[in-house]
Amino acid sequence: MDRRATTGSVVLLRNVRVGTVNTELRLDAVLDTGATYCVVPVAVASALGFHEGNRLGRVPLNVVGGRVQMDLYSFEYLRAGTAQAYRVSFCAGDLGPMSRFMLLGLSFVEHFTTTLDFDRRRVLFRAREDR
Amino acid sequence: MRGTAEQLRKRHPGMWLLIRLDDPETESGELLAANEDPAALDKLLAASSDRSRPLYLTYSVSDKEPLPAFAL
Repeated sequence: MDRRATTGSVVLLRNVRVGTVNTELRLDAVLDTGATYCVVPVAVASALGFHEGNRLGRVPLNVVGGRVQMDLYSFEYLRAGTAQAYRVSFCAGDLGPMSRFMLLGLSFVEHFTTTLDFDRRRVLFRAREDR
Repeated sequence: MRGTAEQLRKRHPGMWLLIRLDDPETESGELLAANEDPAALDKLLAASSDRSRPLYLTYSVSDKEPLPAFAL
C-alpha cells in the first residue's frame, strides 16, 4: 500500500525511482491515466544516459493542440512507493519550461490494479491477477 | 543544508530542489541546490557523476501558489 500526496489539482507522487542497469534518479510524478506512455523531462533522461543514439524509436503522440513526435526509450525499472515495474517505456519531453515533473502514464500503470483514494489521499498499486 | 525531503521542501516553498539522499532507502539527505527555475538545476544534474547515493529532483508546492491545473 502506498501513501502519496494529492493536491487539489493533480495527483502528485513523490520520490519516484527511475533507473537503468547503471544508475538511478528520483523525481516527482503526475499521474496521468490518459497518457499512453510515461513522459520524463529531457534533462532527467539525458542525465540517465538516454540520447538520440540509443532511443528505441520515434512515436507520434496526440497532445492538446495537435500531434508531436517524441523519442521513445525504456527504463530498466520504475518504482512508485513499493510498486515496481520492469522495462517501462517512456518518452523524453517536458511538460513546460518551468516543470521537471514526469508523467506517470499507462506504460507503468497498466502493470497494476490501481485505485485512487481521494479520501485518504493515496494511490494504491496492487499486482494484477493475470500477471 | 540537511534534512528529510519534506523538511527541505517546507523550507523552500515554490522552488525546485536537488537533494542527494543519504542512501537508497531513506528520504533524508543534503540539499545541493534550490531554485525557482528548474533549468538552473539541469546542469548540476548532468554534472553529478557520483551516483553512489541517489539524486532526488523535487518541487515544493507553495501554499501561496498551488500547482496549476493540468490538461494533458
